[in-house]
Amino acid sequence: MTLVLIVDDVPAMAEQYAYDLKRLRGYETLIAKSGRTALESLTRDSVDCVILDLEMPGMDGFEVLRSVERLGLRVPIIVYTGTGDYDRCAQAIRLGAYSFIDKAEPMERVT
Amino acid sequence: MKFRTRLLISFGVVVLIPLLVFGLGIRREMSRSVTGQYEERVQALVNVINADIAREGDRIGARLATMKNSLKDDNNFRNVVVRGADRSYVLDYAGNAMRMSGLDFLQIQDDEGRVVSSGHFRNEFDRLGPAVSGTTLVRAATAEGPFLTLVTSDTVYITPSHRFRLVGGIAVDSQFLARLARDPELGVALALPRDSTRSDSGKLVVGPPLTLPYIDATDGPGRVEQARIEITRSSALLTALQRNVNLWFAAAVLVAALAALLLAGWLSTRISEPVEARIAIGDIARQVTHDVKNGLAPLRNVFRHLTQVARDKPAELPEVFAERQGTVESSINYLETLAANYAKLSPQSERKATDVNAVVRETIGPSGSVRTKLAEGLPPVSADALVLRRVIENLLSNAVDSLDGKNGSVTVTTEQGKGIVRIAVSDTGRGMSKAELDKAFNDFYTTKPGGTGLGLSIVRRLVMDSNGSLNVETEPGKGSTFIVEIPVQ
Repeated sequence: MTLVLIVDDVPAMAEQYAYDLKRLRGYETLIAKSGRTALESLTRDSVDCVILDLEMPGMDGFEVLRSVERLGLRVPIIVYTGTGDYDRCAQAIRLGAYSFIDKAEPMERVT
Repeated sequence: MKFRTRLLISFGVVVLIPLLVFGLGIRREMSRSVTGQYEERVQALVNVINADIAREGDRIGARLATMKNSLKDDNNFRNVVVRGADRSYVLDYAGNAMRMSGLDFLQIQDDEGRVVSSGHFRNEFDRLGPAVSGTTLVRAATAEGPFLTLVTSDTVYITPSHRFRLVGGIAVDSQFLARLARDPELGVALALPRDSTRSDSGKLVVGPPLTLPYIDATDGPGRVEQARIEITRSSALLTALQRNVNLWFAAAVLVAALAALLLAGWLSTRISEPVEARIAIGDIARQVTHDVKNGLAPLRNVFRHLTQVARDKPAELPEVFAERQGTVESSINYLETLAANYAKLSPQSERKATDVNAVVRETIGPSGSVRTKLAEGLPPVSADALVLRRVIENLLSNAVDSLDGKNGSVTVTTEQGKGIVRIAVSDTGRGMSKAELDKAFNDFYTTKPGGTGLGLSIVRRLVMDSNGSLNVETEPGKGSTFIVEIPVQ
């Protein structure tokens, strides 16, 4: 069983990712609405992959990436941004993200 | 750091560094000029002293030459020398001749250098006198004590086999030295070998060394040494001069720096306003893109899924629609909230005399959870009541949120200040760190999950639109106080 953690403060975004990952691949999902909740989940649950929004209030996606690196957590993290600024995605890759996707991409392509 | 501040600092550095370099250059040139003038004056005085001493030597030499002629014609002197007649005539000769010629020192020495007659000290008879050649400074003995004299010598033959040397001079005293120093800001002093009585505190020796042959003849013939004539100036004078130069330099730099900073401030404001506006617009555009995508992406995906189901498995459409209805509603709600918040960014206000206490009471309503301390008799302020209400609503909402559902209090206080009315919204909630406070008024900054981060940004704009000011006092763990000041009508 593959467990994917979706981190986004906008519930609709997280819900649609969770629904489609289950529908298209049969992946189980967890939803975290903030960076801090995501870190708690990562240290507690056996997460296989993370989908992470870079823009969140409080602890944003970049801080989550730094914390994951600092805590020595080994998990592939796919980031996305809704700003259309791919420099931010490149910056996230430098901080250890595995890859990045666009929010507008069809879920079939993402999965 | 704000763009305007960075620009101001850059301007300051760019203007001040060349100004400082320029100023230091001027100061160095001024010091060099002052020193150069001094050196010229000192050199001129050296030349004058050399000429004066040479002239004094010539005058003494002329008197000795006259004396020599008289002595050659003096039969009494010759009789004593050649025939050994009464020696008292010779012993008194130098005294009389010295007085007649206006000298202060006179010795007649025989061929071996022994004094046969002394004008300034009769008892020197038969002692060895100083062997003077050219203009020389001599320390001579008298009955009253030693004194300094500038002397020259001449030779006289009474007979071809009787040669005598005439040594004559004038006293070198403080008046003599004062005559040498023609410049009122410069002094002249004598430095004799082994002289421990000199005290030059507060004086600086300047200029090249001036030397004169010197013989200490107070106790025997002595030997030729070197005495120095020193040109001095007061160190206090130089210090005062340097202080004046430094003072003017500092004043010039200060005035120039102030002018440069004012200019830099004006320029940075002129330049930064449009740039900051563009940066702010860019930030807002990026944030709007992000927010709209957050609302649209789920809708697009759900719609795409429903279209697919309607095409391939129409029978399952109602079931799938029911499953995805929540996501659609959530997205629509999110977009509606977003639209409402953006609408608040451009308020249309109508300023008129407004009773602050009335607005506060109206905003709080019958709620018992917010305490109030409202000052009586406040003057009306110039503001839009709706705008003021929105400001207080936002601040109250933040204050209540900061309590995190725990026990605590929120208080609204009003009071009158100088030309303003002050509204303070205080809470005993979580407060803010310095880093949080720095970002608190930025658009889209929030610490609330799902928040848009526009609340305080809107408050600040509304207050500024009312010509007011907004300040915050906060401490992590202890709470925050937001202070709004609005000008009175």
